[in-house]
Formats: sequence, C-alpha cells, structure tokens
Amino acid sequence: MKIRLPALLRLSLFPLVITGTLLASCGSTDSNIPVNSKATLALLETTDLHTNVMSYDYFKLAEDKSLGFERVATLINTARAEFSNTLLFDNGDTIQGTALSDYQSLINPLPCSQTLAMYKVMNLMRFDGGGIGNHEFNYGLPFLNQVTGSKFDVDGVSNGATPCSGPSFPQALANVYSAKTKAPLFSPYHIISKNVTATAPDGKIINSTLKVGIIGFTPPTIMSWDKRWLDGKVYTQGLVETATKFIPEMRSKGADLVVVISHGGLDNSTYDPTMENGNWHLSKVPGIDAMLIGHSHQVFPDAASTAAQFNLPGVDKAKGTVNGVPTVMANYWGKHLGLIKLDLVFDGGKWNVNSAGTKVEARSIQNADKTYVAVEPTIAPAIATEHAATIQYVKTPIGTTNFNMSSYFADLGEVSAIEIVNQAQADYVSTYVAANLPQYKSLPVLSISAPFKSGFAGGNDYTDVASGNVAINNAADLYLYPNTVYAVRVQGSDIKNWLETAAKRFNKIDPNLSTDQALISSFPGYNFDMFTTPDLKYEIDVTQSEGSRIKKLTYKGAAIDTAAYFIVATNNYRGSGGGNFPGIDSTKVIYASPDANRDVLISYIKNLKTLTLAKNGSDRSWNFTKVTTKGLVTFKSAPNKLSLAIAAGLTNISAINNSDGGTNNLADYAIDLSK
Amino acid sequence: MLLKFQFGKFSLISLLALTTLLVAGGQLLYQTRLPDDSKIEQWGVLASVQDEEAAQSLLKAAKSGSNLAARALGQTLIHRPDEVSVLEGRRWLQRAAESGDAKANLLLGKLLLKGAPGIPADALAAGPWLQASVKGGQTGGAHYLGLIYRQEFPSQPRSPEKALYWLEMAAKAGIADSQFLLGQMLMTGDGIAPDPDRARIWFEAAAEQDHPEANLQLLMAYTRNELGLKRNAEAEARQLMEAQHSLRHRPPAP
Repeated sequence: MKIRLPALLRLSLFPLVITGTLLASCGSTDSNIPVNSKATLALLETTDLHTNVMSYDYFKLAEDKSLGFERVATLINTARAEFSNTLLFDNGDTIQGTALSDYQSLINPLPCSQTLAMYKVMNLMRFDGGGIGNHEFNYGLPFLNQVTGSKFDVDGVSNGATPCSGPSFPQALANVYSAKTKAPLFSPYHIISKNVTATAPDGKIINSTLKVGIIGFTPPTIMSWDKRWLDGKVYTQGLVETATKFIPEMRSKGADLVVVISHGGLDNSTYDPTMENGNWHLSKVPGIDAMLIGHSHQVFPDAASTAAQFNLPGVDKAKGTVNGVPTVMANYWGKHLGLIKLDLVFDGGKWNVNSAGTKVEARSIQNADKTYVAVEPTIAPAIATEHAATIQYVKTPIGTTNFNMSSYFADLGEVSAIEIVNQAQADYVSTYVAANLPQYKSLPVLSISAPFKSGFAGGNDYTDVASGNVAINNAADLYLYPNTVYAVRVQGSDIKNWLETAAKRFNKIDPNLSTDQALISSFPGYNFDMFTTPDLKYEIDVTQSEGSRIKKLTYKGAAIDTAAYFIVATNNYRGSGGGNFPGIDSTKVIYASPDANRDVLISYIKNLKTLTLAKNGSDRSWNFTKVTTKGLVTFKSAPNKLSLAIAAGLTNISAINNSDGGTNNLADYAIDLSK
Repeated sequence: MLLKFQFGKFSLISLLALTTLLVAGGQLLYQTRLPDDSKIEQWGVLASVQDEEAAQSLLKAAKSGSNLAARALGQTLIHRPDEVSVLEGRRWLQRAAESGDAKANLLLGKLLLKGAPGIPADALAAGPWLQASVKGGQTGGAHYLGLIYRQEFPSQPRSPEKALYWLEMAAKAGIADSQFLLGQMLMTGDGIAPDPDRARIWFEAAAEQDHPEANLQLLMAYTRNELGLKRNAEAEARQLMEAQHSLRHRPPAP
C-alpha cells in the first residue's frame, strides 16, 4: 500500500496539473477571443435524489421505473449530446432517503476508504459540483464529514490525517458555520474553470475558458430539524446576507457567471434570516445569473403548476424565472433533470449572458407515451454489491413470533397486532424519560395505538403476519403509517376523554331491537386508540351515547385518579391534534422524538428476538360491557378467520357467512355482547 | 458558560429599578450609541451557540435600553437548561414585551404556556402576553390562543368557538400547525358543523408547507374516500411519500 498510494496520487494528480496548465494558457488567450464570439452553456440539475440510485422500491422489493438516478443519467447523456457545453450540478438531499442510505449509514456503516453508493455513481456521471440539502444532516455531522471527504472543525467530529473517500466534485455551502471556528462548514463557493467551445463572429469554432462560480445554501431551519445533531455545534446565516457578502467576492475573483445552488423553494413572506424557503428574496441579490433550487419536490418551470410558491408575484412559472433570474427545480428521486440553457456573448473582457437566448426546462424521465427512458447501463453494475446487500438487509429476519399477528378482530378487542406496537412505544419512551426527563421519571408510562388496517378497503386491508420469522418488511404491515413516536403528559381525566373519543368507533346499540345492528360506525379505525396493558382496564358500553361509554376505568386495580399525571406513548399525528381528541395536542407533548414508530418497533423486536402470545399478544385492557341484545350485533371482517378469534379467546364471535355478497372479500360476523 | 448574575432577595425590585433607570438613562444618553439591529441579530445567533462574548454584547446592549437585545438575550437564556438562566431570560423577555416588542410577547407567552425549568406551565397566565403579541402583529400568538381555548381548565371551560376564531386567524396568516388543527375541528365538527371541503382546503394548505400530519391526513382521506377525495393510487403514493419525507422537516412551530 505504501508504494501504491503515492503512485495512485501521482496518477490522479498528473492530469489535474496538465489540465490546470492548459486552462491557464486558455485563460491567457482569452484576450484573443474575438468580441461578439458566442457560446451556449447548459446548466443541468438533479435535486432531492434521496439515494434513489436504482429504479427500485426497497419496501416493495420491486422495480419502480418512475424514479431513479439510473434513468435521469440517461437524460444527462442526452443533454450532453445536445449541448456542446454543459455543467452538471446536484442541489442536495442526496445521501438520505432509502433503505440503501440507511444500510450504508446505520446498519453497516461505510468505511472511510469507501465512497457512498450515491456519490459513486455521481462521480461516474462526472458531476461538476453540488450543494448540501437539509437531509444531508440527518445522520449527524461525523457521518456527513466522512462521506463528503471533508475536514469539519466542529466539536464532536474527529478527523484522520487524510479525508475519507467522497465525491470527486466540489461541494459548496455558504450559510452553515462551525460554532467552534466561526468559519463556514464547507467551502462557501467554488469557481470552476470550464473549457468551452464557442463560435467566433466569422463562424470559426474556438476554445475559451469560462469561470463559473457556484455558491450553495441550505434551509436555516436545519437547526430545528436536526437539533439533536447540530445544536451548539453549528449555526446558520440568512441566504440574502450570505449572498450579499460572497457574490461580489466571487466576481472579484473572476467569476464570469454566478450560479446559485440553493436547497429550498420560494416564499415571498417578509424576509427573515431563518426562513426555510428564502430563494424568492435571494433572487433579488444582484449578480445571480441562474438559480438551481429544490427541497419542495416540485417541477419548475411548469405553466400548469398550482403550487402556491410558483404563483407568486415576480415568478414566471412558464418561462422559469424568479424576479427575472432563470430558475429550475427538478422534482425529486431522479424523476426529472433540470436544464437552464444560457447564451453567452464575449464582450472583449468577459463572457456575459444574452438573456434573450435563455431557456429553462425540467425534463421528465417519463416519455409522452407514459413509458420511461431506458436506464444508463453503467449505473447498476457500479453499485451492485450495495444494492444486493440492502435487499438482503430488508429481507433479514429480525425475530420470530409463535403467534399470528393480525387485526381481523382488533375492533372487537383482539390485540395480537397491537400489543407489540404498544410495548415497543412504551419501552422507547420509558428509556428516554429515564435518561433525559428526570422531572417526569416518577410518572407511569402507558402506550396507545390503533389498528391502522381494519378492513376499510376490504378483506385484504388487515394486518396479517404469520407465525415464524418476522422480517423488516413485515414491520410495515404491523405499523402502516410513517409516524414518529411522541410522548404526551396527560391527566387521568384526559385518558378518559381520549378513550371516549376512540369509542366513537362503535354505533350505539339498542338492546331491545330485534333486528340486526351493525357494531362498527364510520369513525376511522386509525383513531380507534387502545391500551393493551394489565395495568389499565376499562369497559366500553356500546348501549350508551358517545361520550358516556367508558366504564370501570381503573389503573392498577383502583379507579383512575382523574387528576393524576401519566405519560402516554403515541405518535406525532395524535400528539399534534390529529383526530381532534379533546385536550390532546402539542401543549401536552413532552417528547417529540425523531424516531419512526416502525423503526422503534423493529429495534424492539430485534432486542426481544422471540415474540410469544403470552407476553406480546394477549394483554387486553378493555372489554365490552356485557349486555343481552334481542337482535344480532354484526360486523364485517375477512372471511374464514373465525378460528383466529377463537384462538385469541374471543368465544363470543360467530361467523354468519363466508361472503357479505360484495366484491371486497368481506364476510359478516356476529358478536354476542352478553358473553 | 452562564451569565454571571447573582440576584439576592431584593433582586426583582432592584432589577426593576435598575432596569427602569437604565432604560430611561440608556434612551436619553446612549440612544445614538446602540449597535445596529443586524449586529444584535448576529449576536443573538452566536449567543445561541454558547458564544459568551456575543452574550455579553447582548447584555450590554440590553442594559443600554435595546429591546431587540433584551429579546435576543432572553430568547437565548430561556433555552438554557438551568433555572437561573431561564428565570433571567424570562425577565429580559418581559422587559422587552412590556416595552411593546411583539416578538418578545410571543416568546414570553409560549414560555409560560409550555413551561421550562423553574417556570411551571400556566396556560392562563400566557394568555395576555399572547393577546398582546397578536395586537403587535405576531399571528403566531393566535395559534397558541387557539390551543388554549381547545383545552379545558378548572377555571376556564373549553371554548371551541374561540379556538376556531384564533386558529382561523393564524391559519389565514399561513401557520401550518394552525391550518392542520383548524382542519381537524372542521373535519370532526368541533364547535361548528362538519365541513369536509373546508377541512380539506386547510389540510392541503398545510401539506403544501410539508406539514407531516396534514400529508398523512390527506393520505388517509384518499384511502378512505373522505374529505371529498377518492381512492387514487398515484395520489396515495405521493401522499405517502410526502407524509414520510416531511417528518424530517416539519414547518417550525410559530
């Protein structure tokens, strides 16, 4: 290695030196470029790639042609063939967002000597520069420092003698600073010497050097989004102030053009240095020739766009200008390639943009006939190992279960798919409170969740994980929605109200009616929150009106103290006021965790390794209040599942038929509320 | 790292007296010497990353009568983990708030509503400060007033009508959290007849600002044919992606 490294260095540096010399000589001959020589430069943008290298969905373990760098790479090739001079830039939100990125950061962290799969293929496509998005900070500063091959001088980041492998193109970020040094975290800007072919007034093809300055910005709101990684370590500056400071500096260093690579959208509300989408204001800073924007996952220009941010004064959504500055946003996940074509004219001293020739477009990987462009064939082989390892990781069993976890009878109190979620949430919140919230450590931690899949869309719309191995993709069946764990601090009275709201799941049953009565109302299953712990017990009396159905609510055997405080582990939807549960909103939240309920569930199962019916699938907190009804009380579920109900101890359920006569794969069942 | 201030038993009175003197004196004598706003804002940024020099500069400017500095100093101090700093931060915020700084009113109202080390949460005490912040043009205050009226207190019954009034004001000012909560009240018919169409419009407005829960609500509405939406695989896939993605960058609370 000791012999090879210098050799490699020499090999790689040699062309750079040569190029440098050539560029320098080109530069010096620029005075020989005839006045009124013309050149065309196409700026190409990718944005919000989110590590979608392949056209592949790691959740479904299936191809998805509607996205992927391997397809947008084909558009890059097409544009390079079409325009003699191109520069390819990435706007950021690049290194996070798929199972592949999780695999390379969290599961099997990338060694310093290797390049992240996403950057590998970007190197392959010869990017000329890149910006830094907010999601680049999601895995923390040490990881970002490593994979970008940087040398951050920031508390908590250690650097080796040489930077780690990273992108082979320059990255710019001007508005994030190290608290330790007060210096920008990345180079705020770069000036790229671009060898361009141009046409002299006499028609002769000539070469010239164009100096293109790129300056990068990220949303200042990273400070709250990634507070856990960034607090006290870095700080941000406003886009306008930063640009006003650096752009004249870039010009004085010879930049013919200034291209802004700003991760963010447009917002014309009063300017603030901490605003998330500051590019509408940024565009008014003098000296910007083009803006490459992103973050909003939208297409700009788009004459048909209904997005509020593209219907602001000063924004031309058909031409692609913001306060006159050519601007492009290339959607997300490699669905589009942004393109700004600039016509340049040499004035004898420098190259200037002839704005009459400017053309902005966002090109889709989807063809007019709804098919998709072919993949660039070199991409997949370049990351075949990483791709295969990610698929392997997604399929790997995380534990085993000795029981079938299903939601077919969750509305009736069956908890085989619910209790494990509640346990994982409670464990996560208890651990956090013990370590970080000493003022609440004496409070009991309860946990609540709802059957998200409860048959609305038919008999296949239920959670159903067979006994045996549990894999990561099963976790999505157990926890359908992309939520994060929230902990709320509430009183006994709030818990009563919470359960009263959840109990709207049921119609009011009249025991004296001799006709059939449907038990389940139109109240959404995702709001049917329930506890699953022996500590908390209650009955639901469906013969009562809404608001008066929760009976015998006890905590550890005694009637619950309505004034006593509890911590309840739930999700961000409920904690933010979703479902409009009275009193449950952000004022009650004591911990808004950054971790997904599904990920918390996965790590809980990984730690337990073996799930058993006795410990993880049979603790009911509630029962229906017993009542004898003259007629049948009915509900629907998937057909032929009665044996599951009986196995779970719900012996008061009977099957009426094997099909309710509809096309949704549902059958009718009855419940005897007297038992 | 703390600002070294020892307050004795007479601290509050002497502080108020001192502050009044300094404010009056500062305004008379040092008005022209106050640093400009952009400088104070920069000190605020640096003080928030524990730059003690910046914190001292803020302190000096605050003592010289700058409300902006008093607010910036207060804002930094209330986010520190110890009671002494938080209580001192509260005093500076209160000074700026009482001098009519609407942002300081909002910060103080939020502090009282949520509580902090040494300051028990007291929603009803927060109310007047929040009202003053709204009067001063900080519509974020309306969001928190809406939250307060959604709650039941022993001395103040729940008032969905008032909650709707304040949340609508904040929602119209573009606050995504308010748009989401207003949508929830309209969807479920809380204090008003259920209005799924208006609810959807507010959820869409919040979702466009990357509000994760609004995106999730729209996803669930598509899958359940609610809010005037119908099952649509493409729209559901997009909503799922947005709900997931926006979790990492929700619109900051007002």
